[in-house]
Amino acid sequence: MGARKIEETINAGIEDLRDTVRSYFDKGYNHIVTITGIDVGENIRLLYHMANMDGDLVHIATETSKKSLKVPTIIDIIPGAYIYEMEVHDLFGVNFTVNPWMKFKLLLPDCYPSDMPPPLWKEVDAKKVQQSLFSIESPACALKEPFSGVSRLSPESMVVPFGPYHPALKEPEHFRLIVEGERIVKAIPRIGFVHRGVEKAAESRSYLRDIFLLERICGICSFIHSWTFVQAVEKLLNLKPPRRAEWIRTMVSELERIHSHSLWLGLVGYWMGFDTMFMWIWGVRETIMDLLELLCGNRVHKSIVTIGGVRRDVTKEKLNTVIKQMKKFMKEFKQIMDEVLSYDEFIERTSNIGVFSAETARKLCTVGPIRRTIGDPYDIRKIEPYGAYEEIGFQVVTENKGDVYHAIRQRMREIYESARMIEVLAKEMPGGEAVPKRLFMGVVPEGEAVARGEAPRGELFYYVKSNNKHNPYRVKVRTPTLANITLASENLKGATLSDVPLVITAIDPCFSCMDRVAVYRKNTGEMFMLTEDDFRKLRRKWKP
Amino acid sequence: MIGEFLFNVLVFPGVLFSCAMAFWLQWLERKIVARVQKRIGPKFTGPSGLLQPIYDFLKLLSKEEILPEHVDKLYFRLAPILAVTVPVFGMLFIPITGVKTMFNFEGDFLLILLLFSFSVFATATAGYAVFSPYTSVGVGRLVVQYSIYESFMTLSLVLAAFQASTLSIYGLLEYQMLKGPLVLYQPLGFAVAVLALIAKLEKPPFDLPHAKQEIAAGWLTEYSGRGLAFLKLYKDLSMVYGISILAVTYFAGPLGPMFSANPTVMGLIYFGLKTLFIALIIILIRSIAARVRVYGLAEHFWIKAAPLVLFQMIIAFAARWL
Repeated sequence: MGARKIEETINAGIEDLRDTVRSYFDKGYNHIVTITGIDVGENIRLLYHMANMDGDLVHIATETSKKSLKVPTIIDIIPGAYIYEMEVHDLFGVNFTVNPWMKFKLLLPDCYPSDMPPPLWKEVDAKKVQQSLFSIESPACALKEPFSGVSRLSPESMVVPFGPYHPALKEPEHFRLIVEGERIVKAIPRIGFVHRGVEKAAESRSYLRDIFLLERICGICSFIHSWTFVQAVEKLLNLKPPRRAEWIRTMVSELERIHSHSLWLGLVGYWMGFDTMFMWIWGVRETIMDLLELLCGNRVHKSIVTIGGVRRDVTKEKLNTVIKQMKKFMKEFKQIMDEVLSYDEFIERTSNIGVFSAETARKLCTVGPIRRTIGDPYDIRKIEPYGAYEEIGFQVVTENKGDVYHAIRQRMREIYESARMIEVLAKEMPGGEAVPKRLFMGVVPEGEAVARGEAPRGELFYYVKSNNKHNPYRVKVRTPTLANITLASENLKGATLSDVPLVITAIDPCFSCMDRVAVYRKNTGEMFMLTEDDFRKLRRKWKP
Repeated sequence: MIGEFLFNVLVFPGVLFSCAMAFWLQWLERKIVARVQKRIGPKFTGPSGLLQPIYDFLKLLSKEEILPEHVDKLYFRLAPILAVTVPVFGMLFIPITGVKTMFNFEGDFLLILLLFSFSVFATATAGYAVFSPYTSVGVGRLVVQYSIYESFMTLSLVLAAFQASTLSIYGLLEYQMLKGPLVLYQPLGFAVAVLALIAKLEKPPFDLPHAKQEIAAGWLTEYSGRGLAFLKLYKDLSMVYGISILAVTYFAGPLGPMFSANPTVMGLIYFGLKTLFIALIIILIRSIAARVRVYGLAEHFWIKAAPLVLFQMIIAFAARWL
């Protein structure tokens, strides 16, 4: 499982779409994975992928013609869906009535030529879009009103820009924080500085090349992207990868989870000004990176998975090294975490910060460790097992409160669980062939498949539609950060300025992954533009 | 006379000596923090990278200096100069080799405390010379922090002077020559003073005014080149100055066994060892601490440190009749 072919869809007309969604929502399918748009000639087909907590998916399909492009919104039924509606609005031009976010650009730059149809329509040539965007002289036009959406709430309030070029940020995202003293009154995220159009690019490449392309969506959880895509393609081909290959994939995936989580734990230390923790954890993380290099030959983009198996087999000696090094890692890591968690200041600094309730998290369809922090055992590895997860068995780690401290504990315990799994995987690795005789170069028969995987940050979703060709007809990616970003901006309200990095970090954001589907939010209040003159006026006031 | 004056001001214990101490402490801090964090630290310039701080300083001096738009040029230029001058000036009053320097006078203890507070004025000026969000939030935090730690710093130091019934540095040393170092009577006061000194030096856990993850470099953000070099030097100089004050007040500065009243090398050695000891305390705290929150700052001082100082006050009262 994990991946499945879409055998049947629930077809709904535009009129009864809302009723259908509501009836499935009431049946327990209360988690919307994403909304996929597909260009099918004259019409735009929309697939609403809705999941329940037991791993079942339903696909509600509806179609709207390219001339009318009107679909009723479902955000009053599932509030977390608004971001997916915005995404479809930008990429396919579909208007959701009445979604208040529709008037804003989501993903495209503001200077996207108005005479050109939305970019994921088949008649749009990617080259032409590129040329017309390059011919625009000022790059600033991508964001025409840089300060729009910032309304001053009171004379004492002040706008503190946070990013996109901030010494502390590793990725270009931008938060405008309206502060009163140290307290944040409003946080307005603006993301979308590294959008590269990966989904469009995937349509023009062969399946084999797509693996390497999609792997580059994220630099941290790169393996799970390629694996999830490959799972969907294998379902379309009715291909079952060898057992040994599945075990190797699972092992790499769990190593990647440890590397991602320990990277995050180190960053938590960094964000809260605890440099020593940062250095220590990143120091032991090197062990994991070395293991990944040993197994895959690469540290960052593992490139080990291929359609029908893996590209490299592992030897017995390598597995023994893995076992030995994991023991060493666990010993050092446990020691560090014991020391860190016995530090009162650390606990004080992290608990009751960025608090969110289970209801909010469920309402906004949050996924991954941050969802498990509040106690929902929502883990794709468990509810929809893939790879070797069902065979080796593992526990879903959960905590019972939504704040930064529990998010730290959650990820720490997930590392322990993953380390245990890796040891089992390395010790009981089945024999047999893992590398396919030749790389897959053929055509994929017509069909649609979806695949879900548990990336370190949460549920990762792939939709692949093939049509008897060498390249896919449509690839749709939903990264976990997109599902979680709504929660982060919700949590920022009421925090202090010194908590900002921690609160944003709590969801383990990966903004560049998301920038295939950038988020652009504006509040509807009074527009206020902070110019140089304002600064000068303020300065004059300050002069004695 | 004029020769001695110039020597005092420019070489010892004035500019050259203070800067040498500043670079030495900076190297010590970088090396120790690196070792605690399982790194190596400076390595290549000089033996074990000992000359690295000097090299960094000289390199920064030769870098391009960018003058931001809408800057108050006078304050922008004045602030770094003021910042480095104040601690060097203060160092002239610290007895390092003998019990007296040529500048000491009755009541100089108050002067060094005043100078100690005055350096915050220089950094606040540096921040407000350019009005940008990072600098203004940085200076805001600096002033909040100042208002919290300064009273405790002054209070604990004044308790020492109170016990010795003197307002001169010479008087303090004389008292300690007879009764032993004041840290024996006032360990709590010393602890609070060290805590306040860390806050004053803006080192973790009290590095709020230039918390890079939140407000870039805080009040330092708009500086580059020469200005930045001097402001960085200022930080190390004020560490030297602050540690020297503590060494004189609580550890009797240059005094020790085999000390003679005439200026000797022994005094310098004792002074060096004592400053090293205090510096090690500060650096070790700094290397393992996580930054406090803005609201946690007041809690640290008003809730945790205030009772200690009050208790110390009672002891100091009692100790007067020893």
